[in-house]
Amino acid sequence: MTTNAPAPIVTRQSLADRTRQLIPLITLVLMYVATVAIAPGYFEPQQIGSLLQLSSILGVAAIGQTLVILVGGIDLSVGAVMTLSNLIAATIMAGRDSSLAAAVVTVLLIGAVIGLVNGLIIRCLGVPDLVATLATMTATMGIGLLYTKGSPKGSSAPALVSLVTTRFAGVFTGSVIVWLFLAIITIVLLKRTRYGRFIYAVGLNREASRYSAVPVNATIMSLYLTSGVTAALGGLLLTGYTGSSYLGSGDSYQMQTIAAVILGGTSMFGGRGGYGGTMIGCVITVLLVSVLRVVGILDAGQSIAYGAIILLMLILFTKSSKGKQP
Amino acid sequence: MNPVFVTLRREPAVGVASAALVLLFSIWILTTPNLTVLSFTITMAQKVPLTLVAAGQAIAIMSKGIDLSVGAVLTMSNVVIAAGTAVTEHSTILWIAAALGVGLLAGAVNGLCVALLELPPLIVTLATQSILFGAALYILPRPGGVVETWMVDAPLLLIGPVPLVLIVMVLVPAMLWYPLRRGRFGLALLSSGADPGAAFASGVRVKPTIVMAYMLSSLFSAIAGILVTMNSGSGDATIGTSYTMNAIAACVVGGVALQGGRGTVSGAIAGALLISFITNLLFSMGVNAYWQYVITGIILVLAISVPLIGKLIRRGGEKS
Repeated sequence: MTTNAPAPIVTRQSLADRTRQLIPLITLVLMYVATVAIAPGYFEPQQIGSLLQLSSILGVAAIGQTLVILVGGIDLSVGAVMTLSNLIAATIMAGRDSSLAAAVVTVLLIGAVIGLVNGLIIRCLGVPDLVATLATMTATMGIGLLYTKGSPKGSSAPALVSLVTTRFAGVFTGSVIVWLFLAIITIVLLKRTRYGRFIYAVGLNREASRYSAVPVNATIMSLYLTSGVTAALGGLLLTGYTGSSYLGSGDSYQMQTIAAVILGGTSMFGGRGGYGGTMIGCVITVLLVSVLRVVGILDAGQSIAYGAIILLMLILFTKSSKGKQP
Repeated sequence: MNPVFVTLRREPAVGVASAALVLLFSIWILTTPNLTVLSFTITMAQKVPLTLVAAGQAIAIMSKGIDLSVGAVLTMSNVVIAAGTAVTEHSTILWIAAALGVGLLAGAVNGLCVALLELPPLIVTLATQSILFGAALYILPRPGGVVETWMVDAPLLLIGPVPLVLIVMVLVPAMLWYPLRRGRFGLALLSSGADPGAAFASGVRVKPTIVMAYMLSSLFSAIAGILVTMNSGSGDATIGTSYTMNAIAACVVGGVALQGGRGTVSGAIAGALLISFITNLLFSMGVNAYWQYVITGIILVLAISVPLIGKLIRRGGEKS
């Protein structure tokens, strides 16, 4: 039976799914309230704007990671792709608006290629996603080093900088608008299209999906391709934010995208969750980093905090989903 | 029947890796000008840490898991010794014990999360890696620390004609792993990795086995960290970052199956040496050091996909 319009999915959400959606939101609210209680400055539009600004960079990069994790995979190359796109974009732009378009196109293409390579290695060569993306991550790092010969040059085009940093209404920056736009597309894609249903199907039960004529290979490969592109986009926004390029600039985002996805309630095993949760996870992550910085705990503490929180969230969410399985 | 031949027949990858290793080793010996016992020893001393990390990683992978925190454990080991010795002079042994303790603790946490809480090993070890690197950075924000002279001199020692480091490379796995491998643990590990359900049904104590696997993995990495401290003579919170990736590559090259249940520690060690020698050779051929990253990635992908492609071809040929 074929229909042109996708039928609305009429399913009652299980308690586990509802919990999955609520916990991140509650966590965010509690965290924010606690933060404002300690440092009232966080309630000001200026600060909220900064939080959103940083969330948008992470958020865009986390789109791909969410999609990949939803099918039960993982992409460890996101950070490296962000770094590479930062390095390349800055070099091409060299501070000129005229080269902005060229830089954007180049960087997105490179992200797409890397994502495609990931997809091909994983589906055609049968390499497990962990190893494949670890390998591409390493190779991408090397390419970045080779490209810049160890010393990054160039700087961002002013237009890009203003997109990411100028605010209107005192709170929103252009990058936040871009993020929201992409977020809406992603959420609609996941919840309302056949493609989205394929994604959840593959994530929940790959074998059954294959027998149900779901194009498993094409779906998974396209998701890794998307991940590469969104990572590159994230790198572009990062370039606008920092104004120039640094070796390893995107590396810290790797852990953060995974953290955001997990904190957002998406299951590491795939098939449960969504991008809305990731968005909340992004804000939680950014808020956490910001708070740590204010309290005076820098890189070391952040690293420890991430690890601890991820473990905690894993335990929380895995218990809730394991408990409900037949 | 000779156990070596049995192993080689069951795991052809070990044979291939070892053959390639012998080839590269010979090339290296022949093409290095001014090869003295000292320079040979120094070069080998650099390679041994990775072999130990790879050995530990192999154990974790064989349990149907993975340990991404090995590099971080190595780093913690290095940092604990260097920072500790800076605080209390002449008590290196104490700090070595502490480093090993930290390693065992990390392994226990990994193992318990994976076995008892049934969390995915990838994310668990990613998280512990993050925690450990953060802790290392906290203990030693800038490279430094103190390493006693006897530690720094140790890698250069010779026992008779043989460098001490080579003896360590052989002895540590021989004492820590092979007795376990031949005993009940080896069987338990491989069967838990191959099919945990069947293993459990056959009376194998799967959960304790998995915990033990991760503890061994971290222990090997901690020991490797001690060696790294001897090599470098100081502490550096970023020193272990490349070891994780290289160890996984070494395991894959050495025939350890990522889906668990198959593989040998000796294969992983051969793989580690192989990768080290390839890097050496490239370096001496004048290849840009940055290419190392790209090449490691390619080697990793090739090492995994070639046997899989071989299987596909064989299966295609068998279809009638």
